[in-house]
Amino acid sequence: MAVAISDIRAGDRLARLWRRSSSFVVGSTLVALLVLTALLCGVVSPYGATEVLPNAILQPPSAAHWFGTDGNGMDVFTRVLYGARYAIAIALPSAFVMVAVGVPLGLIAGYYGGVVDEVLTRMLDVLRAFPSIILALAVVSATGQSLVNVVVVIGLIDAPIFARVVRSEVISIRRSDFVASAVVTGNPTWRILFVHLLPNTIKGAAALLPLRMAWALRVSATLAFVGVGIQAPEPEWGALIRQGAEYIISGQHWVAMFPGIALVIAVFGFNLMGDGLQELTDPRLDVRK
Amino acid sequence: MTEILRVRGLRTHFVSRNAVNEIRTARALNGVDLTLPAGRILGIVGETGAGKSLTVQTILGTLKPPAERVAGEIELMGQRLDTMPEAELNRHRGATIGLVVQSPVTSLDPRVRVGDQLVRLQRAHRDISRADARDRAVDMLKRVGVPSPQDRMKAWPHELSGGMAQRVVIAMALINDPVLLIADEPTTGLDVTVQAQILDLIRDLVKGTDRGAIIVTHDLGVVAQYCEHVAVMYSGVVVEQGPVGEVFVSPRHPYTAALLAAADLDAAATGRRALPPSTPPNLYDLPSGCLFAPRCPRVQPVCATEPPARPSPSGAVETRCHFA
Amino acid sequence: MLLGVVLVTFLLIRIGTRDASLMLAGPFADAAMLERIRSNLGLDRPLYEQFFIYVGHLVQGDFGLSWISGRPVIDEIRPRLVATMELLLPAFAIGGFAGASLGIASAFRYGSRFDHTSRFLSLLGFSVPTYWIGLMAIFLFYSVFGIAAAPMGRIGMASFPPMPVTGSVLIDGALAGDWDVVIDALHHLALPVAILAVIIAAPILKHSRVIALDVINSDYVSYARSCGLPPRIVRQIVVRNSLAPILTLAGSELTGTLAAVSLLELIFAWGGFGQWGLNAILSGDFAAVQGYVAVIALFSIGVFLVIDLLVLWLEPRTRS
Repeated sequence: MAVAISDIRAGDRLARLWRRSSSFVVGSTLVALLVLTALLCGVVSPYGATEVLPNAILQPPSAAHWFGTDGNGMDVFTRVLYGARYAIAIALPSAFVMVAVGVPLGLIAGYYGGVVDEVLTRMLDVLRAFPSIILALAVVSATGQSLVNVVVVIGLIDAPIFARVVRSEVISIRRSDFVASAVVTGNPTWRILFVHLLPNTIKGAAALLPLRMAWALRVSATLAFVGVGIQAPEPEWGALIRQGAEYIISGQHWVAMFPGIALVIAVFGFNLMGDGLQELTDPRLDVRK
Repeated sequence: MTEILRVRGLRTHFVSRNAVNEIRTARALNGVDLTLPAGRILGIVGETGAGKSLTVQTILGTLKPPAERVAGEIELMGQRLDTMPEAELNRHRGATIGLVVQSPVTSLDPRVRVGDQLVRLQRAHRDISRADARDRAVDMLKRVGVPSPQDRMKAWPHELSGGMAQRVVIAMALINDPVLLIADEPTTGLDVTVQAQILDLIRDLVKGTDRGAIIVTHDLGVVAQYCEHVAVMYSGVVVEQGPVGEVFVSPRHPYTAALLAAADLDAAATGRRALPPSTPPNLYDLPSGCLFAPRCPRVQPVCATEPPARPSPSGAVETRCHFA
Repeated sequence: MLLGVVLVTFLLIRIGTRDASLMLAGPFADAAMLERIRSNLGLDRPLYEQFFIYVGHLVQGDFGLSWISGRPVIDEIRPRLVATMELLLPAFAIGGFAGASLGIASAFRYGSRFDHTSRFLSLLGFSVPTYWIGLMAIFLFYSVFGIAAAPMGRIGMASFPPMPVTGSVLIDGALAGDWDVVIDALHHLALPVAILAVIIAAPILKHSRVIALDVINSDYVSYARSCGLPPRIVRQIVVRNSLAPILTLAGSELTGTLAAVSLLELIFAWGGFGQWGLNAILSGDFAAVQGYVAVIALFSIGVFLVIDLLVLWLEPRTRS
């Protein structure tokens, strides 16, 4: 049987990637699964996301309702699937904010030093001292509970972390000949920052991205659970767990359990992907056995 | 005269898996032979990557995966080290074999004082009281030329200068009365004056005793000045070995000649030629004949197909070359 | 850094609660009353003046009055803080120790089954939300197995709380010799402490492993092996040299743990500082949030200070 050359190459590449970091492959698969679910949930789910079904309050998992139903008579399976949409809607945009704010901040702080650098260092100090979840909680609770708010707040809180990584990379190559020659040949500063420095410093930040997205997902779910972020009847996983909390003691675990499992899988996927990315880019951890 | 160390046919490989999951073997040592008589200093020279430090690690048995010794015999005072169980071998390390390392400051335990490390090392290998061990430690520090040894016992490793730390490491190597002292690039990073002091120290500790020493270095001048014997390594093989006087004056192997020419300031006057520039051999894919053939100015067809099997002795010098 | 933290907490509170005067006044207040309340709270003064007043009060330990309970915030905090510590300290001790030990052990067994398993578990622990695992644990151990205590605070309904000496039910019970209460308290502590310990252990395991690997690959460990030091002593060298960085790391983790504790307190109705703080934020209790934020910040700074001192003591290199 003839096998196309391109097939062999693709298989090889996968095998190579697997060898070097199985974590990355598994993690990326899970994340891809998440995206897929978010896109296709409307097609796959048996019921509507907020569809109230008659006579179906707090039903345990069954053939008709794989994950059972909640206290309002809504199908848990469907709601869990739709929750994937919220997961993506939070993870991706907040990642964008983190990078859009953090990377330039890091570039400027690293290249110029001075006031910007000082402010950044202070911010990082404070972030170290203060649990960021509580910070996010306070700010979102004050500024209003909307998806946009949650995304922006989470993005801003994590931005300094990106800034720090970029900053240290910039500092390490700031004095190099490569940069010096760019300055001497009269490049305008913004060009130096974005064309010369950026590509070389982005690697560290990129490796960090999936881990921060995992964090964003966790934080937003926590906010929803506490009652500050997205609330029922929106099918966000944290909100779903909140709904299910009241039934735990009486033994109706499914309302809270399944959204939680979905959340764990999604966060785990991002974490694995992030760990894998670190394995791939950090030579120190790479011991090829 | 007794032989302190005798190494025959040492082979060390690095086994790993490449991008498509095939097993790849880097043949780092390809049959190393060494002889060290008592009371003598043997210098091992070669360019970076020739396998000098790896040889030391293989002899000591401190290879870490994926490196492993695949063949060879190692005899220390007649005892076989290569077949010795690990626990027994460990008793030799730090006792019968003393090691002087390349980077002394970072090699000392940062959380333990100098004196305590000397005591710890002694008590690990022999039955001795703390007090006695401390006394011996002070003595040894004095012998290696550490000023105010009593005070130095309390010092932390990071407080020591490079030369001082190296003296401490030498003290550590000697404190359990070794028969073999191995110094792996012992003067890296030290001032020229300190270098001379350290090397003088090593020579004094070996000359006229039953001990032997091996100095691994890339500095031919050091070998010329301090060693009686020399072993020239290339690509995991000892290409020439013998008394320094003979090897350095009339080298038989083309590589030795080239090495000397490169170090020699009046190459033009002596008429020796340096090597043409080229890349070092790919350890994963070594040529089948003589390993030096690709770079050899005297290469012949047989060199590409047949490796020079046994070192061919001529007088006291052994050479691995078809045409020595 | 202290100043920075205080400044930020101040700003945070100013934005972190809804317009307090509006809350206090209620929906029927008119403009004049609003004005009076604002001036009462000092909200009409310029921002920097407010800040100085705030710091002044802070130094005296005066956080103002909680508008929910009407009592001074500091009085609300004190007993609850003890309850939180009852949960946090044992969990941190257990979790930190377990995490570090497993992490170092994994480093020694690099690449083995043990190593991969513990890495996997640690990553899993990283990925589970505290509140969810709390709920699941309650479901499993209380509803299903019935071995855990009811998640209703620190002691059961049937027990009489002992005389409050320290504020810790466990200690007070022991001091009073009331062993039934002590057992009950322990019973109630078991599940939340176990969960918190697991949550704490996960990141500590992951980082300890990396730290220990670095140490194992260092010059001094190779040298120690070359000196023929027995494996027992080599392990000792690795552990002792990993300790300082692991402690520093544990300190950072501790600050993050405050959030997890708050959530668990919520679920277990623990009546602790964290739960109270969360409620304060949710209900916009201005002064209470101030107190909550300030105490957290002070706690963190305190922890860092202690860790720095410990590292100074442990590591000779930092002394010169």
